[in-house]
This record gives sequence, C-alpha cells and structure tokens, in this order.
Amino acid sequence: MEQTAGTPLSSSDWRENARVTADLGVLFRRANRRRQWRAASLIAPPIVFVFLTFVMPIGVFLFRAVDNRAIAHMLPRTIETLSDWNGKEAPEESAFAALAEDLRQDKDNRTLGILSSNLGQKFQGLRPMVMQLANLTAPPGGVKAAAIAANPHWNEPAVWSVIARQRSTLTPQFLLMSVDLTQDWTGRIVAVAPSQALFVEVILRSVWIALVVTVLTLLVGFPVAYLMAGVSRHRANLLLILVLLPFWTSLLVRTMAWMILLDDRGVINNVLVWAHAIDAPLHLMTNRLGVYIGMVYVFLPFIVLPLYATMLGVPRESMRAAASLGANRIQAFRHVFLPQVVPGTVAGAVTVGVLSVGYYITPLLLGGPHEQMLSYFVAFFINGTLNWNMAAALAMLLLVLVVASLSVVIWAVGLKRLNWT
Amino acid sequence: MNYRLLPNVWRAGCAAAVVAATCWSGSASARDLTFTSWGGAYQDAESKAYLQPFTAATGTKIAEDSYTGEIAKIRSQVESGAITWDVVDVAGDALSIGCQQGLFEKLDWSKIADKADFIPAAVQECAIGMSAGGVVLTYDQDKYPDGPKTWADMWDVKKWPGKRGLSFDPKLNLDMALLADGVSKNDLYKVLATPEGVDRAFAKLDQLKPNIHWYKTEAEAVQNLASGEFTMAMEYYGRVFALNKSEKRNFAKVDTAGYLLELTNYAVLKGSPNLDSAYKLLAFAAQPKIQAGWTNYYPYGPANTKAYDLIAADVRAKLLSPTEAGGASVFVDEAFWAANLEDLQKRFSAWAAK
Repeated sequence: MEQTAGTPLSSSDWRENARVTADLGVLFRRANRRRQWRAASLIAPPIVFVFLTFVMPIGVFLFRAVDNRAIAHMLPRTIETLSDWNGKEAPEESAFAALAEDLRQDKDNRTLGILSSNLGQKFQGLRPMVMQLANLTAPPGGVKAAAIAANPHWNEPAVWSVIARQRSTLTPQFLLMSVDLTQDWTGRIVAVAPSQALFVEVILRSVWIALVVTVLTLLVGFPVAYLMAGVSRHRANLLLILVLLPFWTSLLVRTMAWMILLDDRGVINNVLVWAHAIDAPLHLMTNRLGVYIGMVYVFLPFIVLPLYATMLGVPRESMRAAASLGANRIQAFRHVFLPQVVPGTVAGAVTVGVLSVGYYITPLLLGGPHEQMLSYFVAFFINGTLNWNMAAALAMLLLVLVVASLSVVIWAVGLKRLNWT
Repeated sequence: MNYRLLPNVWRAGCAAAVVAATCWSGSASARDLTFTSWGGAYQDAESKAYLQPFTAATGTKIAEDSYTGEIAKIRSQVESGAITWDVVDVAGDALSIGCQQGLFEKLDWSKIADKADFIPAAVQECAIGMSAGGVVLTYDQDKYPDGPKTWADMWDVKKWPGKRGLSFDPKLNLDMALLADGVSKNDLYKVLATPEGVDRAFAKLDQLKPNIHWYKTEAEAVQNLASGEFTMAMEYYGRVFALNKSEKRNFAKVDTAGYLLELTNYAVLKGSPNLDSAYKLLAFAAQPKIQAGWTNYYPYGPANTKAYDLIAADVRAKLLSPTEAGGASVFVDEAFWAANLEDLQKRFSAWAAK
C-alpha cells in the first residue's frame, strides 16, 4: 500500500484503498484463524490429556476441602424438619425423631462413621453424642426425653444449630481448621483451642525451611554452574553427569544413604572420632541441619541446570570488554555478569522454593519433631485417618501459598525475563 | 488427510477397544485371590504359615502384595470399584475407621470358626484377629544385667542414662506414659478419655522429653537398638525377636512391665470378587493347627486359644501371648484411638516440636 511521495490521493483512490485493505485484513484474519485452529487441534490431545489426568483429579480432590454434599445427604429428614426451627431453644420431638431415623439409616448404610467424625470436627464432643443417639432403641417416652436423659447437651440449641447448618452443600470448616480457626455454634469464626492449634506454626515452618533451603542451594549451586560454564565442553559434560547422577537414583535410597552418613554412629562421626577431631558425636540429623543437608543435596540439580544454561549464554567477551574498560574482576562480575544471569537464578530459585515447601520424604527421615512440614500432615490425614476433607484443605493451603509466592516473584522480576531452561 | 484411511482407522480403533474390554473384564474375574500385608519378614512368615499351606491344601492360587498400612489405598479401591486386593492384614485403628466407613465386608463367623475358641478381642465385625502383636519394653540384657522392670523405669535416667527410643506417634506413647504414671491397666482408657488424663500423659512424657529419640520408621528403631544408641526402647516385639535371631543378640522383652498388645487382623475388602475364596482362606488360617504352626515363624501368640496346646514349650516361652493380657499386659483400645487420633496427633505434633 505504498504511496509514491508527492502524489496526493484522490478521494476515490482512498476509498478503493481502504476497501482493499479491509478485504486483505479479513482474508488475513481468516487465514490466521484457520492456522490457529490447526495449531490448536494439534496441541488439543496433550491439553485434553493433561486436563483429564492432572487438572481434573486434583480439582476434584481439592473440592473435598469445602464439599459438604455427602453430609447433607446423610441427614435428609433432619434438615427438612429443622428448616422452620427458630434456633432459640432445642427443637421439638419431631426433629429428634427425624435425626434418630436418619442416624439409623446411616448406620445401615455404614456411613455413620463418616458422619459422626465429620460432625465431631465441626463441634467438639458431638461425635460420641451422635454415636449414642444412633444406638438408642425405640424409647417409649419419645426420643427427645431419652436423648436428653442420656446426654443433657442435646437440650442445647448450640448443638442443633450445628446440625441445622449441614443443609449447606459447602462448608468452610476444613479450610478454617487448616489455619487453626473454627466456627462456634453461632457461626462466628474463632480460634481453635490452644491444644489443637498447630497448622499456622507448621505453615510458617514450611515456608522458612523452603526459604533457607533455596538460599543455601543457590549458594552451593552458583559456583558449580559458574565452574561448568567456564571449563572446556568435555569437562563441563563430565561435571554435568556428576550433577545429574543422583537424579537417576531413587530418592529414598539417597535419603537413606544420608542417614548412614549423618547418624550419631554414622560414617562421618565415626571418622571424626577415630581421627580424634571430636570427642562426642555431632548431631547431624533428626534436626534442622540434617534436613538442610538432605534437601540442598536433592535440589542442587534444579538450580545448577538453569544457571548453567543462562551462564552459557553470557558472552565471555563482555567480561573482557568490562576489563578493558577498567573494571576489576569483582566489579566486572557484579555489574556485567550478575545482571545477565538473573533470569536463570530466579527460575532455579523459584523451582527449588516451590518444590521444597511441599517436601515430604527428606524432612520425615532426616528431621526431628521440629522439622515436619505441611505434607507430613497431608499424608497423615490421607492415610492415617481417612479425613480427605482435611487433607484437601491443607493441600489447598499449600497451593495458595505457592501460587501467591510465585506471583510475587513474577511481578518482581517479570515473566519474560525468567528463563526456565 | 486421506479420507479413505478413515474406515481402517475406525476399524483398528474398534478392534483395540474390544481387546482392551476383553482384557479388562478378563482381569477382573479371573484374578487370583490377592493377599496384602506389611511386607518383610512378617509377610514371609504369613506366607509360609498360612498362604502356602492353603494353596497346597486347596489348589487355590494366591497373589501377594504389600503396603505400609495406607488405608487410603483400600478406600480408593472400594470407592472406584476397581478392587485388586481381597484379604488384607490391617492395623486395629485403620480397621476401626474402615469398618465404620464400609470399606470391609461384614464377616459371617459361621463360615470361619467357632467364636468361642478365640480370645474375645479377636472376634470382630469386619475382621478376624489372627495373633497378638504389640510393643514391649526392650533393652540389651548383655549390657544391663540389672535392667528395667517396669515402664516407670524408663524415667530413671540416673540408673540407666542414655536415649529412650519411642515411636513418633501419640498412639502407644500416651498409653504407656499413663501406665508408667501408675494408672492401672483396667482404668487406662477411662483415664485417657478425659482431658485431665491426656494432660497427665503429656506431663509424664514431658519429664522424659530431653532423653527421647523419636524414631519414625521400624528400620530406624531396630538399627538404633542394635547400635546401642537406645538404652531402652518401646518397640514391636516381632522386630526385636528377628534382631535377636539374626544378629545373635540378647534384647529383652520385659514381661513384668507388660506389653501393649495390638491384634493383627485379616479383613476382606468390601465388594471383593473372590469373597468365597477369601472366606476359605480365613477359615483355613483360623484352625488351631495352622495357628500353632504360625508360631514357628513369628513370635506373635495365636488368637485361637486351642492352638496353645499344640505349641512346643520352648517356642511358647518366647511368644508374645495374648493370654498374658491377664497379667500386666493390656490390649490397646483401637476404637478409642480411631475416634481420637486426629485431636491427639495435632496436640502431640505441637507438643513434640516445642
């Protein structure tokens, strides 16, 4: 659409020109859209696969953190009867009878265990009350009188308002509990009893351990990557193999190997005692130190590889140029080299930080009671007590934590500058 | 795209789907009876004592699998309906939770054994108790000829200095702390069910805390016992027994302190396609003769009381016997732990990290 300079456009030329441009634009967009569709259809299978095998199962599991449908489903008659309850005092006989009937049904369906432990988490002491009521056999004087005789708490509106609340298909209870909060009987959010407060401390602990591990891994990994980028290709490959070698061994085996090394009667202590370097064995594991050693070792490749890739891209000439302009080696390193490797450094650090905040095996085996992180409790709730609601809530918390810290990093550094390869 | 290819592709796809479907249904129905347990020497013993004789007697093949007690694996099988295990060896608290949530078949005891032959605790709704396992107070008898006699002696760090090995769990430790604090075994779970009782157990453990080495795996427990890192420990007797046998060591089970007994339980997954074979295996393993034979491989006393007449005296002396529960030993209240594990675990984790 180039116009010869100096020739003024007539109005008809201009219109003609605009029409052609518009047509071209349509054609171009159409062609482009077709190309985009073709590209989309090519990458559709992997995207569908990732969605079906990764996003969906995780989403479905995480939904358990707030899902209350199953519980509402176990109390159909009770919820129906309580819909016009005033909430001021214990309800009439009809509600007691409905609850007793629901519980009997749940007992037959073998869902009573799930229901009672779920309610017990929502209100301290409700679990044994529910179990007791389920086993009450057709009392002559009415269920209400018998239930209150067995446990006077049945006369309290607090208990009933918790049960009435189960009509909701969603519950905030597990997410609240994952940050040491709970609902009292009026629905107000309050702190849990001091003896039950745990997860806030565990979250802070997990974040702190992840931060320290990231910084330590960076401190150890940076010189290694720098060395690799500086030596000949042949030597660099050899170093690369050494860095990657542990990758090809089972994590459990590597952690066990560290246990053999770090134990109070382990290899390191035995050698030091034998050499009279120390009198009493050093405590190298079942504490924070052991966890740091084990985790830095595990995560080293995750930081060395992106750093190495970035450093290879830094032209050696730029350092020489800096020197020729009068910078000494430290100045050249600081002002010329470092700014160029920021993307790889951040990418490596983010990877290590994200992986370590949810780490399980190494803290479990090399740490003591002070080192158990969030995943330990996720595993406990999944395997130990089958409380998948709570496990999902903790997993959700972990996910939020990771996404939030990632966002901060991306905002600070800029997505385009990050180099993950 | 070559459109003439499409029918071929379509046909090939159908063929693949048919093959897959056939394999799928084939694997679901023709699967061998699958027995799942805790692996290691323990499962080897089960295999020799129960499974191999069963196959020899009935011709029914048994496939074996192992797990580390993750009841989540059982729940996901039952919930999805893709059941690959039939008979599982399951721990008491997991059994209690799983039975309430309908993960196991309710057993028809008339197809298994006479209830009267078994110790009462072994007769359960969803499982048969096979033998009495459990933890004991243990120490190196060669090193300490005058060793501890009671759980309270664990707290005597003047007489026996050094680390105490305890499992990193509230279960068993709180029970043991109350016993050490003088609670009688008959009142143990009455006391532990009260908030004051829990406070009391934690207070007792608090006194010993600087001397406790929390072990997190059975391997760690045994290795530290063998190396002398633990002066004394509370450990599963099966492991201690195996250590004594393989390393020619002399670690005690302190009978006077009493054991904390936990039954080993066999349960059948809800909806197992091999229910009949599973019942046959349970009935076979419940026989006195087979139960007595078990003691040749593992030191956990049979739950069938009729088995004891068939056990040689020297083997019997080394057994962890449930009939000992009449003495100082106590059966762990699995229902209590199933109901209270979460609350106590949270408190324990916070307390241990302090």
